[in-house]
Amino acid sequence: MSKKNILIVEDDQFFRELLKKKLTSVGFSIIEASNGEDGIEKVKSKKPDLIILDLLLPNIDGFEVLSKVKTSSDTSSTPVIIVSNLGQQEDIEKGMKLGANDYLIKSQFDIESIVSKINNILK
Amino acid sequence: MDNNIAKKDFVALAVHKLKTPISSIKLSLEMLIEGDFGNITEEQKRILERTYQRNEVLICLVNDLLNLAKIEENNSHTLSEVNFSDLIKSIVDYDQESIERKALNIRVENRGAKLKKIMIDAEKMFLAIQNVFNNAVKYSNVGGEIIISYELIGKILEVRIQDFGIGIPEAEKNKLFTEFFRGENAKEMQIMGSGLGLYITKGIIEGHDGKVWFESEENKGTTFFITLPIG
Repeated sequence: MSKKNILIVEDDQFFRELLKKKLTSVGFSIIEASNGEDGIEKVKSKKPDLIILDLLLPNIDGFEVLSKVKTSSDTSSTPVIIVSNLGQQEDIEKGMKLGANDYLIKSQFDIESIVSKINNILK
Repeated sequence: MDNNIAKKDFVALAVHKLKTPISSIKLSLEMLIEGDFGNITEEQKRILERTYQRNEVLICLVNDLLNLAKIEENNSHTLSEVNFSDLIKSIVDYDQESIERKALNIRVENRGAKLKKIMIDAEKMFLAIQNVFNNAVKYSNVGGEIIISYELIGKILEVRIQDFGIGIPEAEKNKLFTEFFRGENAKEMQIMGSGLGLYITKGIIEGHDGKVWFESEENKGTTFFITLPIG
């Protein structure tokens, strides 16, 4: 069975590297994007099986990326997990309303829970 | 520029700048401890775990500093109609992971309060009550119970949050609502906290012309009371 591809859209290079390390070790293939524009381009060109999306990105933010992904017919079914330090109720509601499958707060989640959430979505 | 808005934006930006490296520290420590970067010795693991715990305290502090800045930003409230039982439900849901991990039984009792909706600052009230409830979760023993009850007495809404956990030592009761205070028994049990939660709660509740107080006995539990004038 071929590996599932996960696109990580995250501008913090160290955080992105850690996520990549973990998710690669559990069998996923990782595509990286360090900003929103690159993220949108890679969603269209690489057709990942799932997107991990930060919200505070340079230039266009994660909400805009999410909106573009979910309103485009060729990418709208791609599941998205938001991983961000924006943790106010209104941010979570906005993300879920725009079509995110889940919302994790960076400074609060543990890495095993993101792995199990990804596995649940992709099974 | 309005000073309050400038300060609030500054604090929000500062908090975000702090949370970014803190999150990477948390994740990298977790992965080191789990062996994702190779085997480590027992001593290395012990040191990393202690570092991880201290980083968790930093996270609590940063979150609470942001909350404190928000409630100090100005004295006005953004009032909206809120379904109180939905508010309580969202407060319990927020701590669902800890509740499940500690196998806690949560009972919510509406003691006859014919509340449909009340006019409150929803965001601040969520924070104020969530701090108290989160303490009840943190300081409960595994398998314990927490009871949240509320009733309307005339035009006063009274909320009670009762736990049967570690309680508050007699000598520390008068310091509970002061900034950065943490009980010795909590510190001994290595339960994390910033010491700002109840200080924030008191500020918010009194800002709504309400009152907050507690009754407690060490090793038996604590009940917090919040009263709010409504309508």
